[in-house]
Amino acid sequence: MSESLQKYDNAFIETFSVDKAALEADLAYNSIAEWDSIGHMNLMGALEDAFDIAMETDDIVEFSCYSKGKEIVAKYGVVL
Amino acid sequence: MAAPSLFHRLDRYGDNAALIGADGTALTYARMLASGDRLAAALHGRRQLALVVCRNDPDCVAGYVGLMRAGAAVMMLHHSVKPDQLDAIIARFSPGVIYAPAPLCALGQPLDRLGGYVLARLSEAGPTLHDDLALMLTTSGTTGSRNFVRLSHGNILANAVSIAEYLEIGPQERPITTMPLSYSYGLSILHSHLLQGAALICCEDSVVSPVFWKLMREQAVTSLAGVPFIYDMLKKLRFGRMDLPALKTLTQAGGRMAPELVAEFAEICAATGRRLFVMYGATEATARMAFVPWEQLRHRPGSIGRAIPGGRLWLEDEAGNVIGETDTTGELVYGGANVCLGYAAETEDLARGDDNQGILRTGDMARMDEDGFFVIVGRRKRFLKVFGNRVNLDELERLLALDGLACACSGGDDSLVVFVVGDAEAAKAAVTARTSLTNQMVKVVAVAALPRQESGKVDYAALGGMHG
Repeated sequence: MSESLQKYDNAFIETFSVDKAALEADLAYNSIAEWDSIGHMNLMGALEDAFDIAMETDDIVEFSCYSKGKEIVAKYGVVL
Repeated sequence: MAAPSLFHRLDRYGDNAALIGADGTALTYARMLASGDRLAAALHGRRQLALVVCRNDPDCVAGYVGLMRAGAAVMMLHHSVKPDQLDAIIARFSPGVIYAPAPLCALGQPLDRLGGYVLARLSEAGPTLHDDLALMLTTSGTTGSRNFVRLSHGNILANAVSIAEYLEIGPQERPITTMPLSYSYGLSILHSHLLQGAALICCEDSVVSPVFWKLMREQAVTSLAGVPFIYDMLKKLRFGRMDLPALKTLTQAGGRMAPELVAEFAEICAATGRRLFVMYGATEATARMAFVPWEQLRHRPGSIGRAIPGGRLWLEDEAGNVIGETDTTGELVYGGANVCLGYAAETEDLARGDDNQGILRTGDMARMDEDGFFVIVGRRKRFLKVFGNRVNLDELERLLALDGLACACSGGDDSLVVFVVGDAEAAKAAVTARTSLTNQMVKVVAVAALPRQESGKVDYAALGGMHG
């Protein structure tokens, strides 16, 4: 596993207190109590810090699940 | 029902759009009222207690309006209510009917439906209801509070009229829902805009969802309301750079917003020709008690403003004497026709009349400046606002004690801290199980022992230094 992917996964695991299996099942916004609008902004903050990026509004609101998020961070030059 | 009702004034708006769903479907006032009245006909004109489980969608609103017009006393709950909490509320108040999303209505015998919502009978005999009782809202959706606030049609109409006046709401307004209708601020937006024949865009999705912003643009939304946390999110979403030409008004309430954030949004609004209203209120006042006129916001940092039209605000000292001087701290007291009848914790309370007689002691400590603007400096009671939810710290401690946890709850708005003797993880689990707060809304700090004053009371000042 790449170091970037590790960081990407850790942002979810630490923000939502979930395990890796939940990510592999493509964890989605609003599918767990922790990933509500507050959790969403915490996750965005964690990812921005981890990769030193600043995401655009459209990307923040379209970040709907674990797999979609991978496509979004890729736009900012993050190679997972 | 001799008291004037907001809901009986809506027929005049016939062909105006009233409710717009997330799919863009518009319901006129005439159709909303026809649907709601048809549904409520199932009550056969018998006044009874109706539990409404709220979602921000047109079926929910049309049914709510119909039940109100049919003379039901409506008790509002959010759809995230946990099954055991819902059972407990039904057991405690024995409502006659429930109006809820279809899956929840398995609880009763179905009478009629509106889209995805079902009206079902729960019991034949209901509690005794006072003639003035129209609406009940929780004071705290979070702590599983036993307390509902009892409101009358007079309260609802008075507050809606006042809000519509100072926000200058006209029939052309198109607000969007950003908060639940079971929350007094969310419901006040519905009421004040119905009063004026305006259209409400109903959206269950939050500001971090693409659906929300699609509706903002396609439905040409004219006003946006939020608690401080929503403004935090809007800032993060770079709201200032968004192109939203129809948006003209922003309102903020639901707890104190950091002055820097107010200033930032005041700048954005000044640059985009928008009005920003910072407001103050409580469910016990139906919703609103004070506001800062938008033109003055930049000169009034940290102020909650002046009383709304038709209301009065003043300060009282410990002995209950009115404080006339400026810059002297006292308890903020409000008088107006929107002050609730009282609380309801048990069935018997539903038969009670007006306990408050139009006067509300807010529990907030404040000062007044020479222009009559108020600034809140602290709280008399131990309440926090945690992401828009009111949390009674003493009540939370009592709830956690039920799980055998020795806790002291402290912190500030949006930064609740639970100090626990023992296992922090267990305490966190108990908080999320006992309330609808989520993990990230609460910080738990394990301590060896709770510091106490000589009197044996928890020393909260000493706890402040133990943030681990």
